[in-house]
Amino acid sequence: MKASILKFVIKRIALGLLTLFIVSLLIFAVTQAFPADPAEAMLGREATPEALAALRADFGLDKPIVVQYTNWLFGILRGDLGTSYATSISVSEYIGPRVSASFFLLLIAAVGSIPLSIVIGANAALRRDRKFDTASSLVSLILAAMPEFVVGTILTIIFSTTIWQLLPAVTYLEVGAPPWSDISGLILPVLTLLIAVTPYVSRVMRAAMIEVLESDYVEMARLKGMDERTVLWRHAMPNAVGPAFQVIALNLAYLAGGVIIVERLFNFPGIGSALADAVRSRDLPVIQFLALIIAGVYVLTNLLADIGTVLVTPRLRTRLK
Amino acid sequence: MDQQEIETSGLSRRHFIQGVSSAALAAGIFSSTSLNALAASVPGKKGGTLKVGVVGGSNDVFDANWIVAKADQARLMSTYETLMTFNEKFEAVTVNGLAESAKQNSPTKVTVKLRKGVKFHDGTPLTADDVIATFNRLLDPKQKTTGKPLRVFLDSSGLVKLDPLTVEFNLKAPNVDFLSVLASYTYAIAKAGYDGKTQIGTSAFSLVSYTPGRESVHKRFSGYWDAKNVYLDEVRIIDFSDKTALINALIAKQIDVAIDIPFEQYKTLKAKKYLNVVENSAGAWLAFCMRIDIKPFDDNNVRQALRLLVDRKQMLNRVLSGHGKIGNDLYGYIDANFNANGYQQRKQDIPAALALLKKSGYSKANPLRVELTAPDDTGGLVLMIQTLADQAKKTGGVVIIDAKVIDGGTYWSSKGQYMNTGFYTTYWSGRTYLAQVAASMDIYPETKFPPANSSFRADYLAAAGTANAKKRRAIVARMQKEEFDKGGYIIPFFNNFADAYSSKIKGVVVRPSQLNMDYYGHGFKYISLA
Amino acid sequence: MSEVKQSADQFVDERPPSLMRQGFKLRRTQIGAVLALLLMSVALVGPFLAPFGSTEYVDLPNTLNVPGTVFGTDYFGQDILSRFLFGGRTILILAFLATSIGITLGTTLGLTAAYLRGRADEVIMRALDVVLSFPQVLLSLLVISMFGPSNVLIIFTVGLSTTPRIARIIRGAAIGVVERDFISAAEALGESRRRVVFAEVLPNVTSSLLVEMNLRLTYSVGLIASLAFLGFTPEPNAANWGLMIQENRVALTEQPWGVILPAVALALMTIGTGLIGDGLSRVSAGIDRGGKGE
Repeated sequence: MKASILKFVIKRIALGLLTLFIVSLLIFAVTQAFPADPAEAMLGREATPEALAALRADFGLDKPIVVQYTNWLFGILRGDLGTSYATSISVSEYIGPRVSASFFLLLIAAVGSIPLSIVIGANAALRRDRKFDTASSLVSLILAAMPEFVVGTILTIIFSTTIWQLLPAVTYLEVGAPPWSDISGLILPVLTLLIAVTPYVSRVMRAAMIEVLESDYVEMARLKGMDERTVLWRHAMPNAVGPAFQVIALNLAYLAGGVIIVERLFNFPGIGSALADAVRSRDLPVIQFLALIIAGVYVLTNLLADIGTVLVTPRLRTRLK
Repeated sequence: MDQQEIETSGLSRRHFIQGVSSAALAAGIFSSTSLNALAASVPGKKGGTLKVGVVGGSNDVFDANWIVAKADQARLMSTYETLMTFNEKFEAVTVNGLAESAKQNSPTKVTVKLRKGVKFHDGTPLTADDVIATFNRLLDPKQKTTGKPLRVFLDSSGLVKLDPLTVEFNLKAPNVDFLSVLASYTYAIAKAGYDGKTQIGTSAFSLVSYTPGRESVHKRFSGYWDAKNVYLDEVRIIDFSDKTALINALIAKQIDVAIDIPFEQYKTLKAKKYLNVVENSAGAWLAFCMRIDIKPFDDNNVRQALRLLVDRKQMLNRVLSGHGKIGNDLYGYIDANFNANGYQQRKQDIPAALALLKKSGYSKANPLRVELTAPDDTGGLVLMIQTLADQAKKTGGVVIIDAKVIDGGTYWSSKGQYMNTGFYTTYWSGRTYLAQVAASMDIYPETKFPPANSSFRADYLAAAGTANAKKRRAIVARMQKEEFDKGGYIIPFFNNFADAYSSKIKGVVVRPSQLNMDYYGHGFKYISLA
Repeated sequence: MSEVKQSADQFVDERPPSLMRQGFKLRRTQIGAVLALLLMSVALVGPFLAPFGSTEYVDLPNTLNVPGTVFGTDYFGQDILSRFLFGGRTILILAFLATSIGITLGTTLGLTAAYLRGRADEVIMRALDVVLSFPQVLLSLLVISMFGPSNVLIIFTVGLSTTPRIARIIRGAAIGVVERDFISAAEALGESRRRVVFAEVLPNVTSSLLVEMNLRLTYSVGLIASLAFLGFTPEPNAANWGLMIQENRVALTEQPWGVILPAVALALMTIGTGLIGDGLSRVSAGIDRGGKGE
């Protein structure tokens, strides 16, 4: 059995890399199709033909697309991320501190959302159709309907500016200071992310738990006369861990997307706000790199979730044989 | 983006040009929202960090002679100084300037004597060489600066060093008001050898660090020539990508100053006891541009008809919630010779417009259908074109305006709608009449006015070279008549802008000025925290 | 021939009693239906009831007590109530179109993958993984910043990013079903593949489908608003609930109705469709027993 698991893992990793490679091609192709010429965007109205040509040569914009792509890809693998068109500093210098800041934000949000969605989902499944389930379902629905920036705006109004003035309205990190230097400034963005992510994922968890609880072998355990508690802990829970992995992956994935909006709303200096900014200023190297990172996170978490699910769910393991 | 972008009327891609102002600057005409001219209150306590919030991003520019948006202005003013400055009447004075004295010897000669003991942030002294190097940089067409209008009047050879502290400007064309040129805020003096990257100026605060898209930190410069008027220890200029986040930060007391507040929040902010709101009206304007050389705008009937189509009061209300003054298709509001002919305010007059259009053959059966564009990075312009399109419906289908919003990057690019199509929008900050003429004729020929057979250009040069105020007024009146009757601009209003700051702050000068916070406190001088 | 068919029918589960009829017996589905119908009526009939035009100037922007209006004016001096009444139509059409594309494509792909299994399954799902590797906002952002904001593009991107998510769910549910006996029986009898897929498998995966549908529907409205927040709007000042939320957000403290009305409409729409989906899925879960799914 071990060998087949190993084979599966390797296969999934290989597929993950392939996915990432295709994604990088797509990102590059998409950004190259941008209508505005980056050299012109940088020089603006004062662009003379010589200046344009010089800039294009500098950035390698005059080479064929395939060469540009391979240069870019190998550059990234080497650690050379290129130069940001907008700021004229290297992408790694510009993005580096932002990556760690966003990572910290996501970590805190994940630490909160994962147990929250699992607990809510599991409880709703266990107390199916009773008060908790209906209430949490309703609240989830409403919260899920609201775009993140609406949730964030309302939270700011309630806790920071209009109704109460308890919390900071934006996150202020001094340049060079670690992301945990403004914890109170992180509360509202984290809360917004939690509210944005948890409703979706707890519903998935709930559905998965219901399925587990209604599955044949759990029924069997009940029929055998085991008490509900044993059924729950011995039979249901272990098989719910698989779905839990999916839940974790979903959480991280949704968070990675939600970050773009939430960071801008709270002026958080992370990769989400940098990406939104870069898209508006056509800063291609930054866009390409950040899109790749975010996609990479997705692929990685999905990969880990898939592998984890299989490793943990006995019945799936047997299918590998 | 949203409506309030109008207040940061200098966003992403355009740049303010501080053009040559070659008119006599006599008394300007404004309504000052506050009473004091210069801060005369009790000097505040020394020390503290001032946190200034402004809308900005990775696109920010930091240069002594080039700006694009308000964040850039703030940083320029914090680091560099000009030879002269403008007072509230837009006269060139030496207060807060690097010149100890400046004299216009003749229409083609100006002598400037520098203050003694002025040091750059690295300790080196300011000399005539630095001034000459700066102006050479401005004159250099290969450098990206606001120096283009300067080249009409000055050449490198005209810059003469009389002694280490005295510079002589020998103009190649007469300009009786060259002192105002020296007061243009983007003609700030940098060290000789300035490469645009290392920011070393003469201002009260030296640059400690600058992180694009985040913040710049400025520390009090102990060697500053006017140190007695500097109170703060440190200034931080912090970028915000979202307007509402900026206001929220101010309300939550995380920053002390918010530059360019959206008028939607004007009432809310004014109601807060711990904040002061200051509104400035100094002749900034937004406009529709019609290129007089492109059909159908080459027909003056069409141009005048469109001008008569506009309900200016409604447009002011819709676009700016009333924060501004109605315009009459003439610019140069702050100029003494503004509206020299005393024209009555144009009002919406649909019948007259229709009559003009009929003369050119337009009717319901043969409507005048035009496309009108605005960039999406300047909210006021977007609202303007939507309003005009809406107002055109009053013609009952004779005039149909297709309002299109174009993304900023494309709109302002060299092949974009701006300046390359027949009907589009633009924005300007306030300047005197002749300075604006220069800018609109040569730097940004937005309407391609004047037409070939006009005396307008000759008039311009004549007015620039005339010291006689009466004569100049007569020439200007003639020029304005031509613009009023046949020009390509539709100027519905002059827009205000406003800032809000903590009431703890003292020393903020409140008076009409081109830039927010009275030129950002001329580098945050006079301002103290408590 | 008929005897053979008859015996085969023994293996086929009874066609479930009408899903809709069963579903609407539940209270929650009824409530959901009422809400959804209410909102759809507002969206469809609203424009005829609006006191002012959708872009008509009424008074100074962001003013609460304007005579002749109920809620006052919005950011551009227009009547909020009128804009609200006009604003449902476009958004519902957009959302429905986008979701339909996603569901149609996703279901087809998911069922195909589940039924064909093996190589085809792998290829299809991996291709969909690539699309899934982009958060929806990011994908929309890139595409729209490239081609400019337009309604067609929004429908396209939402549809495209919905497809893999639907496909995954469908495939997951279908895999369990596909392996069951009655499918093999139907195949043995020579029923065409397509018929097998759509007639036999599909009814058994409706529950998950319904849940997803509801989520995706409201998400597309939220996406339009979020893109506007980031600065990309197809038709600035179009009367559109998603857009209204962003346009009026800055004046929220002075004129809350401009945000509250569309936001509440959005919430009600979600609840309504969610309840319907919930009700129907309960009923179909009762019908479809033993789908192990994955």
